[in-house]
Amino acid sequence: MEESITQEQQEQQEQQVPKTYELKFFGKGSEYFSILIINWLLTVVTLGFYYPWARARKLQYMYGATALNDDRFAFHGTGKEMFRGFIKVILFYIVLVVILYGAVFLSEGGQNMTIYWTGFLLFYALFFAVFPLMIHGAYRYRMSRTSWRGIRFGYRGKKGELYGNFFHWLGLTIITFGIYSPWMEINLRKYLVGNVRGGDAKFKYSGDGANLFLIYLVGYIATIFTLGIYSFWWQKNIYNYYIDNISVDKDDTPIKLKSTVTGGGLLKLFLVNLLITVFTLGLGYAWVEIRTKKYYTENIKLWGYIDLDTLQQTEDIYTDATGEDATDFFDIDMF
Amino acid sequence: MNTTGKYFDGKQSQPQQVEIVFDADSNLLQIRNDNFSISWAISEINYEKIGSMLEIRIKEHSDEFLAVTDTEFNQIFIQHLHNTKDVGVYKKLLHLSFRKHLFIFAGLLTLLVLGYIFLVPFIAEKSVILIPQSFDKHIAKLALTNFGFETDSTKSVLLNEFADNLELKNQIDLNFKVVESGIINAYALPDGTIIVFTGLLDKMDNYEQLTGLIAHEVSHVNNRHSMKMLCRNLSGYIFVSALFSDINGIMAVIAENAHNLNTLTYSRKFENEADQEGTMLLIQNGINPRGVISLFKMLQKDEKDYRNFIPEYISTHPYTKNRIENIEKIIREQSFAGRQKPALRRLFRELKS
Repeated sequence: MEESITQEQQEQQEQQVPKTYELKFFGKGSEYFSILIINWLLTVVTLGFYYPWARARKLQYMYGATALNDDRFAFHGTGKEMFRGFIKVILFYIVLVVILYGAVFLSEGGQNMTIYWTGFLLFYALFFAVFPLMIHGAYRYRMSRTSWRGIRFGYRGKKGELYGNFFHWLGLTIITFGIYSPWMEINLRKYLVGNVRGGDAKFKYSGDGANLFLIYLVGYIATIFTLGIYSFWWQKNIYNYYIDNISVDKDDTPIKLKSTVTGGGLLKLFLVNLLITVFTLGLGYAWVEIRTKKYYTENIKLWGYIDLDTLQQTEDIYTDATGEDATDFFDIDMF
Repeated sequence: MNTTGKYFDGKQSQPQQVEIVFDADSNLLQIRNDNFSISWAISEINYEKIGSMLEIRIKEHSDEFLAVTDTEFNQIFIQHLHNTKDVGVYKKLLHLSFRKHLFIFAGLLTLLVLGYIFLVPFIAEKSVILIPQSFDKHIAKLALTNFGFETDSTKSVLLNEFADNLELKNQIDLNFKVVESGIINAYALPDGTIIVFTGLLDKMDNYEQLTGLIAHEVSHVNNRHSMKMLCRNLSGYIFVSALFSDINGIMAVIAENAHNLNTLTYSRKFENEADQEGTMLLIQNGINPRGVISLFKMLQKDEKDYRNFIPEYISTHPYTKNRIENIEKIIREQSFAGRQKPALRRLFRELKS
């Protein structure tokens, strides 16, 4: 009896000792360049149909080159899954285009205003109607297809909930002429990140709309007055506000994230990237992308008590890549 | 061959240090430590190599996997996989050396540039035949709605009458329009509408110059130059943006700009063609083609102020001097009997008044 108490105490004490975590990015420009070239070759040869596979390969490399405590992340999405989604997105896009051009055509170039505006509104209504669906699908797929040490991530958000929330926040944003948008952004993040799991560890986002609003306001004004130079510090504030408010929780023990990105660091990153791009006529793109990824990744510091050896496999496999493809197609940056 | 690595069972995150025995003969991979021992058939497994790290999975994207950092082992093992099983096109290509990747890149780039220079213009020009004339009319109508100039109806009637006196070998109806403006220029639209600004008419001092101009513009229409230009621009643009944006945005921008520059030289080709055919038309009509030369010489005076600063390559119209030389060459090669045309002279005078 006595012995077991001391053991419990010992465990408790152990939990109080901060663990060490390290995020590293091992990607190399030359390796990534090779991937881009092969992707390019296969895309050209297949008249573009290789694109989803190419995208899967790029993501696989980027995830595989990121390591937490020397163990790599892995992206398991496949070209085949992404191709299926890709086809669905293209079909949806064709429907959108047909509606838009149909409206212009049937209204004889906007002469019949009723048909013209009906088509126009239908176009936007459809696009916005699928927007939450797109985000939901993208998160589910991306998380489910990401793993670390064989433990899958997951996203447990509910489609219906996201729909309700999204249009509620969008409505508020429209009513306030966009002033609400930082709050909307934070709310959305709280919902999305809050539903992310890494095995049995829960993610959480705890930002505040007012702070983000201030970051945007100050950034906007200062960028104008410094003729754009402040934009790097603005970018830093936005990134750091995102990272610093993320935390992970497992059995009531946390890991907190902290970004050490600086405005000067971003300025230097931008200048060197610019030089590489200019002097290689764009061929150095692979190196630019790798440098950028390395800078952002390795500047995330983790601090906390979770024993990463104890994560359990809990999340489902989800293989529908439609949302993922849609966010790529419409160029919406979700991650 | 032996090495050590980390084994993950796909159920929990705890890594297990294991000894790995690779036996090429039995084609098996044995994974073991004090607690367990399993063996994987090499014909079933899947690998992913990132940097110096090798990840071996029992099947593609399984959660259960093995991580090995022993570079010597990794090299031999991957080579064995490539020798004994089908790893797919992508991995075969990726397995090539960096130098070969550079070579692939250079080869592909060369092929695409050649395709752009030879194949795209050829296909684009041939495809013009497939586009119905009605589309030309549609495009011209679009251009005219954005035109925003008033036409001088009296002078337009005179100019049409003037052109009726010439055999212009046109397949579609021509419609001449005179526009009151100081601009020293003329345009040919794809539907046969030819716009002449009074600024240019004012500069002329004999009807032979006007016939020269008309013959030139009509040659543009007869050859459907505008439509060829449109097809060529569009197909070139699609080609460039589709093939280069896959590699990256900056390459696409560079390629697009090269394409724009190339478009300019392409329009020079059309100008030369119109000069040549226009001169032939004049000769066939028994009109002295030297009128064109005097028109150019007169225009050259105005050009001198600014044209000299623009290198020939990036100017849309070829140097007037070159154009004059080209026309003189044609005149030397052809024999013609120039006759006076009183009807044209009368109409020209009325136009000028």
